[in-house]
Amino acid sequence: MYTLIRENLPFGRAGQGRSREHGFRPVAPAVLLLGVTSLITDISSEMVSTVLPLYFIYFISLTPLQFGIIDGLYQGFSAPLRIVGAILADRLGRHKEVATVGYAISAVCKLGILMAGSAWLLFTGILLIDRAGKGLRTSPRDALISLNSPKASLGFAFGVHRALDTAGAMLGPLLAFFLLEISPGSFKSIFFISFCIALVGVSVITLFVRNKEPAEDRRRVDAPPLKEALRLLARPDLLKLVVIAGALALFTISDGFLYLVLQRRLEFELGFFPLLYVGTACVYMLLAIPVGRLADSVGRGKVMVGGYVALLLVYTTLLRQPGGPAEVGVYLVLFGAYYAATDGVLMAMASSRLSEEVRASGFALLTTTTNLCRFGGSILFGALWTWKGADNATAVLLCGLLVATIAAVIFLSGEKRESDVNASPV
Amino acid sequence: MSTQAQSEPTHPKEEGETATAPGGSDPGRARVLLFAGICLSALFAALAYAWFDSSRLQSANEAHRSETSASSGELQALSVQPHVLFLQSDGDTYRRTAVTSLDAGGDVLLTDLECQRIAFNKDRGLCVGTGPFSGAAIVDSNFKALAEFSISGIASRARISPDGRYGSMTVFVQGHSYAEAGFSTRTAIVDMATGKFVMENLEELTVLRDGKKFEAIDFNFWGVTFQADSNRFYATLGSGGKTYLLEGNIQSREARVLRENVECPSLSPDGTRLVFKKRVSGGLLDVKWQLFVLDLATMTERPISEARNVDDQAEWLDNSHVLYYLRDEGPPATIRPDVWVASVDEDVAPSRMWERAFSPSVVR
Repeated sequence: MYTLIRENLPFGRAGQGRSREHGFRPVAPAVLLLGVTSLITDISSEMVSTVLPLYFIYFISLTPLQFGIIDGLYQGFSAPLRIVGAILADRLGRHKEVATVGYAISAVCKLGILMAGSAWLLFTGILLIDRAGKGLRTSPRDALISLNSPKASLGFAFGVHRALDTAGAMLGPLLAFFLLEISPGSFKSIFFISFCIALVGVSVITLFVRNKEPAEDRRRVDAPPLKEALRLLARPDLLKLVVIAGALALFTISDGFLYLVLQRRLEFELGFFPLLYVGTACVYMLLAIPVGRLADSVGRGKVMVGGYVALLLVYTTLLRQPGGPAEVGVYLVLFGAYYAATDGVLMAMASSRLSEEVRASGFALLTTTTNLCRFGGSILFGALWTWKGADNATAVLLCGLLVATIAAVIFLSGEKRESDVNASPV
Repeated sequence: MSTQAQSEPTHPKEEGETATAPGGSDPGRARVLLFAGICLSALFAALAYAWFDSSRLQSANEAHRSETSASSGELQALSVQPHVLFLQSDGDTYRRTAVTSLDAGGDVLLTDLECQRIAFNKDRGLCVGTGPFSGAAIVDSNFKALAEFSISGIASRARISPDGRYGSMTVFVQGHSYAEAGFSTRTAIVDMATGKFVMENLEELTVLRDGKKFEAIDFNFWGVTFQADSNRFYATLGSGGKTYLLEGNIQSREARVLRENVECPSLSPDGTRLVFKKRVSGGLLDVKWQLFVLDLATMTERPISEARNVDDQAEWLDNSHVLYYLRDEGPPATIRPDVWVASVDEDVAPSRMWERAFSPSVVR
C-alpha cells in the first residue's frame, strides 16, 4: 500500500553517456548557490562561536560550566524540531522556505546576542533558538541539493556543498581573529558584522534558489508527521542504512578528545593545538569534491567504508606512541579524508534510497539518529574510561568500530550495483 | 522592473534542468540588483557599526593609556616593602598592571605591562594572557619579558610558589565548533628561573583516590596553589560534573584526592588553611560559588563572611584576610571589576579595597 514510487529524475538521462565518457559534469547552479549560502552563513556563525567563550568569561562573567549546559540541552532540543521541520518541508514541497526560515532565525539571533547583555537566561534562550535554526535548515537544504542533482553525481554535488561549507567554517574564525586584532575588545562589532553577513547568506537562498518542481506522478502523503517518519523506517534499504550509520556513529569519539590524545602523545607545544582543527578542516575541504566524485564512480558504499577504515587507522594512535610530527600529519590527512568520505557521501547514499516526496524527512531521520548515537557513544566511552580504564575503553571502541565497519562492508556492498542501475537507465 | 521583481517569486517560471534563475531575464536581473543592494547595505551597516564601536573603545583606551607609567625608581621604592600588584580595568580590554602598597589609600603606580592575569613574587612575574586568546610571559621587576610561552587558551589563573621557584598558569581551551563546543582547562607549571615548562599539563599526573588509581576521559585541572617547599601543591580536579581538591607532587608526578567540591584553593601564608570557592547552588539558571575556608589540620570547612557569588581564586592579604574580585553591579556596559577584602575569621562585612582592579597578587 505504501510502496513509494522510486523517482526517475527526467534530466538524469540526458547526457548520461556523454558525462561518463568525459568524466566531468558541472554541478547544478542550485547546489553551488546552496554551497555559497552555507559558506556565508558559516563565516557568520563561526566568527561568533569563536569569540563567544571569551566574551562570556571576560565580559559577562558566565562560566564555562554554564556554557556546557547549553550544549547538553541542544541535543534533546533540536532532534524533534529537525524531524518536524523536514516533514513539513516535504509535505508542502517547500524545502527552500523551511531552510530559509532556519537561516533567518540564526541571523536574527546574532542581533539577539548583541542585545542580550549579561542576562544569562536570555543568552541561553537565544543560543538555543540559534541552534534550533540550524537543526531546522539542515535536512531541507540537503534535500534541495539532492533533488537538484542527477543521481549519478550526487556524491559530487554533496562534495561541492561540503567543501564550500567547510571553507566558511575556516574563514569565520580567521575573520573574528582579524577583527579582534585591529580593534581589541570590539565584540559588539563582531556580533553585528556577523548579523550583516548572515543577512547576505539568507538573501542568497531567498533570491536565487528555488524549490524543485515535484514530478507529475508524485504521491501526496497525508499521514501525521511522526507516523510518516516511522513509516520511512519500514523501507528495508533505508532502515539498513540508518542502522549501520548509527552503529558507526556510536563508535566514533569526539574530535576534541582525539586531538587531545594526539597532543598529549606527542607533547608538542600547546600553541599548536588549534592547528589540528585547521589541518583537518583544510584536508576535508580539499578532498570533499574529489572523494565525492570517486564515490559516484566506484560506489558510495565502498568510499564510505574506506572513510571508516581511515578513521580506524587514526584511532590506532590511541594504542601506541606516534613517531613524530610527520606521523601526526598523516593522521590529520586520514582524519580529513574520513570526513570527506562519510559526511556528504552518506547523504548521497540516502538520496538514492528516498523517493522525492520524503527526501528531507529521510535525511532528518538519518542525521538525528547519527547525532544521537554519537552523543550516546561519547557518554558511553567516557563512562567506560572511568570504570574500566583507558585501555579497556579504547579496546571496546576499536572492536566496536571494526565490527560496524565490517557490517557496513557486508550490507552496503549493494550500493555500487544500485548506482550503476540508476546511472544507466536507458 | 520592480513590479516584475515583486510578482515573479510567487509564480516560478518553467525551468529547464535547474531550479535556479541565473541572471538573464529581467526578473533575474532585478534579483541580482536587489542582492547587490542588500550586500552593499550590509557592508555599509557593518563598516559603520564597526567604526562607531571601535572608536568608542579606542577613545576609552586612549584616555587610560594617557595615564603615565611610573618610573623604575618609583617602582623600586615601593617594592622594598610588602606591596600588591593587580590589573587595572574598566571591564573592557584595558588590563594594565598596577602596583600599590598594601593599605587601600596608597598611590597606585602604573606599569606598561598588559596581561589578563598576573602573579608576582621574588622579583619575577608571571603574566598570563599577553594576548586575548593566548600567550604568557615571565617578566622581571622592570616588567620586561624574560621568557615567553606560546600557550593557547583564555587566561584563567596565575600563581607563583612562595619561594619563587615555580609558576603555574591555567587557561581555558575552547573546542572549536568543527567538533563540539565545550570547554576544557589546561594547567601548566613553569620554572621561573629557566623559563621552561616543568609540567606542560597537569594531566601528566597519576591521580589516586582512596589509594586507587583514578582516571577519566574528562579530567580537567585548574587553580594551583603552591606549598612552602614549592614541590607540593594543591589544585582542583574536575571530572564528571564534580570537583575535587588535589594535593600534587611535582617530582613524583603523583596527586591524591583529598576532598570533594573544592575549587581554586589558595593556601594561607602560614600554610595551615585553604580558602576556596565552593559550589553552593548549581543549575541552569543559577550557578553560585561562595568562599569557604578549610582547616588542613582538622579538614573542617566553613563559609567566610562574604555571601556574594565569587568566581575567583582568592589571594591571601595576611593570615586572616583574603582578596578577590567582584564585578560592579551595573548595566553590562559598565561591568567594572573591583578588588574586595574579607576577613576569614571575623564576621565583619567585606570592604572594597581597589576600584577598577582584578587579579591581585600580594608580594611579602
